[in-house]
Amino acid sequence: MKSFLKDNPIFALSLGLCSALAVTTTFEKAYMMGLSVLFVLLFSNIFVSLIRKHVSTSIQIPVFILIIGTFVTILSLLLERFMPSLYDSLGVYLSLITVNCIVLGRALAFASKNSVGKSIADAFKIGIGYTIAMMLIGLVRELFGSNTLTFMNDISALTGYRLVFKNVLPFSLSILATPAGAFITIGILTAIFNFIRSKYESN
Amino acid sequence: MGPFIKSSNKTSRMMFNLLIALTPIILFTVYKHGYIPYTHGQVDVFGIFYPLLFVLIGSLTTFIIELLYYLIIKRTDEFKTSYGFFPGLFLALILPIKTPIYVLLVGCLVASLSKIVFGGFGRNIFNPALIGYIFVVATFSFVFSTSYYEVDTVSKATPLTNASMVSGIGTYDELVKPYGDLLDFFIGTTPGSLAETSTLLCLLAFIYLTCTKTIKWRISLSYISTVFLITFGISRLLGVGLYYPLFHILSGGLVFGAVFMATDPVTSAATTTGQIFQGILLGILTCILRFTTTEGVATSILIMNMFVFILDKMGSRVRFNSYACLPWVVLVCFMIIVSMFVLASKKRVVAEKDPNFNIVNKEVTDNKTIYTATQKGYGGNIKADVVIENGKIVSVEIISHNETKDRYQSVTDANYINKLIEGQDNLKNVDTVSGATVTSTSLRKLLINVMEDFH
Repeated sequence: MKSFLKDNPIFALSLGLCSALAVTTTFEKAYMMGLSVLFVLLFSNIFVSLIRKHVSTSIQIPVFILIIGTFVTILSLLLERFMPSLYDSLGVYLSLITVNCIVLGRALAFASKNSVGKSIADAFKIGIGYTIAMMLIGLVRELFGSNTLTFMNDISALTGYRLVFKNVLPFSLSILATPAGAFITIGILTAIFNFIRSKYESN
Repeated sequence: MGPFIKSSNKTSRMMFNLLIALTPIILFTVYKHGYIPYTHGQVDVFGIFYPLLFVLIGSLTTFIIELLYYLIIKRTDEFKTSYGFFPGLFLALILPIKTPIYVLLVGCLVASLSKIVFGGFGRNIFNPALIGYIFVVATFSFVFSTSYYEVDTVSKATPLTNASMVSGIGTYDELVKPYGDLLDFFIGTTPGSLAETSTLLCLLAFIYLTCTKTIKWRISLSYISTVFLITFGISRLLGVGLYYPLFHILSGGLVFGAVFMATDPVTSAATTTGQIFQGILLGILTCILRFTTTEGVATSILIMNMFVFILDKMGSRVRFNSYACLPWVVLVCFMIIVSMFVLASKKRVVAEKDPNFNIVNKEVTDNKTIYTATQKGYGGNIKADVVIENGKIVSVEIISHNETKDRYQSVTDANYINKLIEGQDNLKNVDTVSGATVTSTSLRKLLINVMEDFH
């Protein structure tokens, strides 16, 4: 709980906002994006941490980007093979994980200075925080914006069944489904998040 | 910055003057949206005062929200100088009369919040009423459909919506005739939101407010004259009469926005030069938005709110060195000329034959015509049989297509063809299927082209 509040990439550090704004129109896309980032973050942290003693600081960034890019490519090939419709709807934001500041930021700030074990723990801490944040944003935006709840639709090719609720609420605020609504949602959630954090820290 | 810093006049006096200037406009609203429907027997005696009630509900809502906010943070002394009823008052005045009350309430809530998040009166950078308006536009867009503007027994589209549906520049008969003549535009009997239509009363208010030094008249004046200049240039380029620029000035919320919204004491430029440039840039933006969508006054005022800081910085520099505004003058002239030519060329386009459309076969029997036609879709040509009986589309059958499975599936899931047949009188207004925009658009285009060929 403490690390979720203190090191949350979206709400506390304001990192990785691009994907948080773009692919959170449905709950499903949001958590699949979160899991994708977790996957890339985990493996990039492991490999960066493994080779950290052999890479000089002057060529750090290209080397790390190369590692991250490799795993993003692996991930997107896997998704294209097993969940083509999800691959379509995530679109360019999947490849943009390569330059996601969370992944590169953790590689530079943490994994390149710490042991493999610690790096794995860090990847889970940040990645799960990111995933939960994405799920919250996706939940609010889909529920209030388009008045549906998609738990499994694009990934049904893999899981075998669909889970989509329609017309959950008696009203919908369609502005939340637009990009401007993403900013509003993130703003409101960040405010609530900071309020909880300040209460938590003062206790 | 609070208006009391920007102006020598006392804030309470300014707000009082604003209310005086708004009174005739509100009375006209009661006449137009209350008394006229009453004489047509559309509403009962209480219906006459419904516009007044509508405005009151708006102002009271924002008033109460701000009162609650200041009670919660325990700073009631600030509430006295926060003028909480103004955002709701203005918001109610720029919405159509038939807006449901709950929409007004939500709009007022957003308007108040947009003021509160910046720290209350004098600190907000955006016009609160317009933020509420934009929120309503984005969320409850049905409010702005034709039937909500109803004035007379017949509901008509607003002049600007009508103008946006006209192909090409629009002749006098197309733009002005359906609503009477330009004098009707000036007096304000055209359909529109509560207060925006009466240019005459807005001008009277403008003169009063300028004489009492309540508003920054330079903004309104340069705003309206820039819109006139650009639309006049376009009318010259395309060879139409003087009615065209006048139509653009008299229709929509331009004059109301220029007098009351753009000159909002808190969110407009404080320096003289800054005010002039704010008006000019507003005019350019409004013209561009009007030619690409229907109306752009609210959006352009909000966009310019963001640049007030830069304009004031430039304005204070000009005070010491008048050459400092030279690059701005060049920039603004460039923008005016470019927008003039670009917008004129946009309106010049005459409907051409769609190169993606092709009629394969056409069978005509007495009152039945069967078309076999193709239209380019997402993956290739969509081929369909369209049966027209007595001038109406009866059935559409898709023979072959090359669309991706998912996209085609979502089009059939949405029962889109039936929707198109139902909405055939106004095909351009049938919404596309999200997730299969290209496929659904080309289906729609196919029908539009078939009907064009039929007529």
